[in-house]
Amino acid sequence: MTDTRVDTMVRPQGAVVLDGVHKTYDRGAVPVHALRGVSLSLPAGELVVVLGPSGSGKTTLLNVIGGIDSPTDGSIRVDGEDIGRYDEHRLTEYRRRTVGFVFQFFNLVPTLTALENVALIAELTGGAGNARRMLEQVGLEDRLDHFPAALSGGEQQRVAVARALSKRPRLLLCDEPTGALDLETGRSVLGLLRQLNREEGLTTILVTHNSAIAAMADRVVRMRSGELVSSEPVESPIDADEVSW
Amino acid sequence: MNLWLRKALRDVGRRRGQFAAVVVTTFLGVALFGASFDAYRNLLVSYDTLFQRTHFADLTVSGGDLTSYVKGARQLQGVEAVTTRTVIESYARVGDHRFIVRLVGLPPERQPAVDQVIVLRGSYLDPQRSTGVLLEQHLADYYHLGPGDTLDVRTPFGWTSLPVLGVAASPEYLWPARSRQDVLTLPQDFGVLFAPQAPLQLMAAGGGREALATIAPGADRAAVLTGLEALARDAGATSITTRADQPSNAALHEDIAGFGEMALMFPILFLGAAAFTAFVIISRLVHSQRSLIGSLRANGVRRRAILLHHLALGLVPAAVGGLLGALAGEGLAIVISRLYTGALAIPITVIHPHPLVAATGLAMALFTVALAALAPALDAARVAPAEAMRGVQPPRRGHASALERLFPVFGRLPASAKLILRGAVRNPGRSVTTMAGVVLALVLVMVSLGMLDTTRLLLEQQFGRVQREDAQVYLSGTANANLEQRVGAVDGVAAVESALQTKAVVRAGSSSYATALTAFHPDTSMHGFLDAHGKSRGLPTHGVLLGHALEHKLGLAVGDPVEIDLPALHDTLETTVAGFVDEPLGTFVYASLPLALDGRGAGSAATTAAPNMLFVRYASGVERSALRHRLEGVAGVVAVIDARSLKVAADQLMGLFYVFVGAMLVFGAALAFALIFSTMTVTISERTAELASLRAAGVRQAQIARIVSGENLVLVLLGLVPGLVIAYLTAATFMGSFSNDMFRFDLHVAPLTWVVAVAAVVAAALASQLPALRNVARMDLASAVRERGQ
Repeated sequence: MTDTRVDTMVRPQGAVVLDGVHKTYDRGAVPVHALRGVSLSLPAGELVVVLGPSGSGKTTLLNVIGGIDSPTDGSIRVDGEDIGRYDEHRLTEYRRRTVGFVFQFFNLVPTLTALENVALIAELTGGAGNARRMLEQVGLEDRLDHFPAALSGGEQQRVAVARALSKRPRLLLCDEPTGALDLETGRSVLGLLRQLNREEGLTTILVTHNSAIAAMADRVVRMRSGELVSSEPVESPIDADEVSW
Repeated sequence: MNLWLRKALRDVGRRRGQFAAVVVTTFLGVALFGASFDAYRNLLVSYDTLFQRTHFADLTVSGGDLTSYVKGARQLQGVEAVTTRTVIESYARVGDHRFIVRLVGLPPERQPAVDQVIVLRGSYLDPQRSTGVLLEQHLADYYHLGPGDTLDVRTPFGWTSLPVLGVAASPEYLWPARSRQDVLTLPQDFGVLFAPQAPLQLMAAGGGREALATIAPGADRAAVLTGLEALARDAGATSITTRADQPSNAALHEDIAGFGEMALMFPILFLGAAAFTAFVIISRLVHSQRSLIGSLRANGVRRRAILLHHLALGLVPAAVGGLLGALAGEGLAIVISRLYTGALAIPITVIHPHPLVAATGLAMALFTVALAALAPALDAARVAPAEAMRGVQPPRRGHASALERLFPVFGRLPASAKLILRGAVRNPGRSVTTMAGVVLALVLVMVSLGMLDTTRLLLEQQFGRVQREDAQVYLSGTANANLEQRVGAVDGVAAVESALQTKAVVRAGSSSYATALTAFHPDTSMHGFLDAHGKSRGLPTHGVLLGHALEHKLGLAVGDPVEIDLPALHDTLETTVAGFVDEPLGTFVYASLPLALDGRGAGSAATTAAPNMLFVRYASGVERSALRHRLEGVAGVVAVIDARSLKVAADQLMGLFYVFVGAMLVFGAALAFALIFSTMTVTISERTAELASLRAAGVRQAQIARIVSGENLVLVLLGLVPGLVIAYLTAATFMGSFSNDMFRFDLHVAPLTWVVAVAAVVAAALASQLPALRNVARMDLASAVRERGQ
C-alpha cells in the first residue's frame, strides 16, 4: 500500500512532507532521475527506516530532506518550511538549526578528541548543547579525551551521534549508520538512536540497504528506481537488540 | 597507447593545477639557470676573445728600473711579448666642461704588440699626424665626438686642440675605471685617449713609464707570471698589476660574477620547490590509490612496474618544465648577453649555444624531482595487496599540538582554535613543504631587497658621511693660501681646504698595495673617517689611516710600522698604522698634511711637495653647474670635478635596480604560491569528507575558510622565523661575495624591508589558497560526505 496523501498540516518537531519531488542529475548525455515524483508524509517524532537497493534513490531522498542537495522539482516542507527553493545560504542556515547528520564512515575530525569534535559543532553553529552532557548521553563519559583513532567503530559512531545532537536539531538523518560496523556494535548504535528518538521525540530518518533494521522502525519507506514504493507504519516495532542480520 | 602511460596522463590531468606547479617551478629553475650560466659563459668568452685579439697585458709594471725589468722579461721563457709605453694624466676640455683625461701612448706606425685597441670609427694613429689621437669609446660617446672633431687637452704649452682620428675600444677600459680605488668614475669626470708615444713621452718628461707583458699560449701561466713578478720586484717596481687585478677587468668580473652566483642560486630555489611539490602530490596520490595499487599487486603486477609508474608521475612534468626551461634559458642567455655587452659597449659579443648547459639544467631538474618522487614511489611499491584491497586506511593518530603540550593554557582554547593549531601539523611532510615554500621565497626576496638596501646605504654613507666635499679642484700648480682665498671668495663656495693627493704604494714586509694617499688638514671637514663600527674618528696627527682591506691584505694591525712609497714625489713616508677606516668605495691611505709634508723618511731629500688640490664645499641651494664654471675661471684652477655627480648618476640607475628587485619579488611570490597551492590543494582533497560533514552540519563556508586559512597562516608564520634567518644569512653571504678592496658590500637590511618581505610572502600564501577554498565552496556535499575520511 502506498501512502500518497499530501499532509498540509504543519507539525512541530520535525514533520516532513514531500510533494511531487523530482531530482535529476546531468551525467553527460544521459540524465539520471534519482527521484521521480516522490510524495511522502513523515509525522514528527517517528523513527523512519528508508529501504531500497543500490540506486533506488534512498540516499538522494535523505540528501534533499537534509538540505545538502536541492530537488529539481516539487516541494519539501519541514514543519511547514518549504526548503525546496532555498539557495545555498538559506540551506546552510536550515541545516544549522534543524538537521543533524550521522554518516556511514563517521567523518569525525581526526585531530580533535571526542569532546572537542562535539564542542566544535556546538561552537561553530551556535548550538546550545553541552558537549560533555551529549557524550554522557551516548554512554561515552569515559572516552571524552580520546582521539578517533583510539576509539572503536561503535564509539566513533556514538561520537558522531552526539555531535549531531549538539545543535538540538529537529531532524536526525542517518546514512547507513551501521554500514561500517559489526552486528553487536551496530545493534548498540541502533539502540542508541531508538533511545534518543523516544526520549527526545526527535524525528529520525535512517537510510539503509539492510532490511533487517526495518523491524525496529515506526515507519518503513521503500524506494525503487527513484520512486516511492510504499510508506507504511510498523505495528509493533522490535527492540534494537532483537535486530539480526 | 600503453595503459600505464594513459593512467599517468589521466592522473596528471585530474590534478592539472598541482602538476602545473611542478612544471612551472621546474621551468623557472632550469630557464634561469641556463640564462645565468650561459650569459656568464658568453660574457667570459667575449672578454677572452677580445683580450686575445687585442693581446691584453698579463702583467703591467711601473716604477723602478724598467729597462732592467724589460730586458729580463724578454729573456724569460714563456713570455710572448714585452712593450713599454707612457701613461700620464692631464685635463681635457669639451666646450666649457673640463675633466681629467688619461693619455695612453701608442706607436703611430702600427698597433703595439701588447694592449692593442679596436678601432670602431675612423682610423688608427697616423705617423704623419703627430698630434692626432684616438678617443676611448666612452669618452667619445658621452661628448658625441668622432673622427674629424678636436679635443682640447692641457699640455705644458697650455690648452692644445688635438684632432680626433678615430674612436677605439681598449681591453683596459671596457669599464672606464680611473684606478682600482676609483672604479665608479663617470665619463663627464674622466676619459681616456690614445696618443702617439713619442710626443707623449716628451710631455711626461721621463715619467709615467709602464712595461706590459703577455704570456705565450701554452706556457705555464702561473710560473711565468711568478717569474715576471719577481723580476719586477727586483727592479724596484712601484706598481705590479696582473690582468686579474687590472681595474676594468676586475670590475667587470665582479659584475658578471653575479651571474655565476645566480646560476647557482636559482636552481636551488626553484628546483627545490619543484621537488617539494612533487613529493607532496605523489605522496597524496599514492595514499588515495592504495586500494587500486593493492588490486594491481594482487593481480600480479610487479613492484618495479608500480615504482617506475609513480616515478614517472614526477619525471613527466619535470621533463616538460625542464625542456621548456632549457629552450627558454638558451634564448634568455642570448638576450641577456647582447643586452649586457650593448650596455657596456663591449665591442665583441660571442654567443655560443651551450647544449651541455641546457642538458645539465634538464638533468638537474629530472634528478631533483626523481629524488623527491622516490620516497612515495617506494611507498607505493611496498603496498601490501591484501591490506589495500580491504580499503583499510592507515589510522591517522590524533594528538595535541606541541604548543598545547608545552603550554597547558592552550588546552583551554576553543575547539575551532585547536583544530587550526593541530590541523596545521597533521601531515608533517606537507607542513615542512609549506614552510619550505616560505623559506625559499624569503631567500629570493631578501637577497634582492637586501642588495637594494645595501647599495642605497653604500651611496648614502659614501656621499653623506665619508665624502663631504662637493667638488675637487685640480690646479695647474700647488695650492697656496692665496689660491685658497681666491677660491673661497667665489660666490657660492661655503668652505675650501687644501689637500695633497698622490699615488701611493703601501708596503709591509714583502707585500705591497698600490693605492692613493690623501692628506687633509688635521681638523678637516671635507672627509669623514669611519671605523669598522661606523663611528666617526678624527684624522691622527701621528701615523696613517688605512683602508680596512689592508688589514688582511698586508697583515697589518694598529701600531705596526708601514712604508708608503710616493712615486710622483720620489719619496717614501715611514710611519705607523694609526687605525683602519671602513669605506664603501675603495681602499685608501689618509694622513694629516703636516705628516705627509714633513714627516717623511729619514733619508728624504728636501722636495717641493705641497698640497696639490682643493676640496670645496658649496653653499646650500647653489646652482652646481654655474658654480663649477665660476671656479674654473679662477686663475690656477684647471678642472673642477663635481664629487656628487656619481651619486646623481647612481640614483638615476637605481630605476633599473628597482625593475630587477620587482622581478625577484614576483619570482619569490610565484615560488611561495606554487608550493603552498600544491600543499593546500592536496590537504583539502584529503579532508573532503571531514569538511563536507561540517558543511552538512550547518557550518558556514566563511567559517570553513577561516579554519583552512588559519592552518595555512600558522604554517606560514612557523616558516617565517627560520625563513628570515636563512634568508638573511644567504643575503649576507651573497653580498659578501662581492666585497673586496674596491667595494664593501656589508649587507644592510632596512626595517621596512623585513616588513615588505614578510608581507609579500604572506600575501602570496593567502592568494595561493584561494583555488583550494573555491573547491571547498563548490564541493558536492552529497557525494563528499560519503567518502572515506583520511
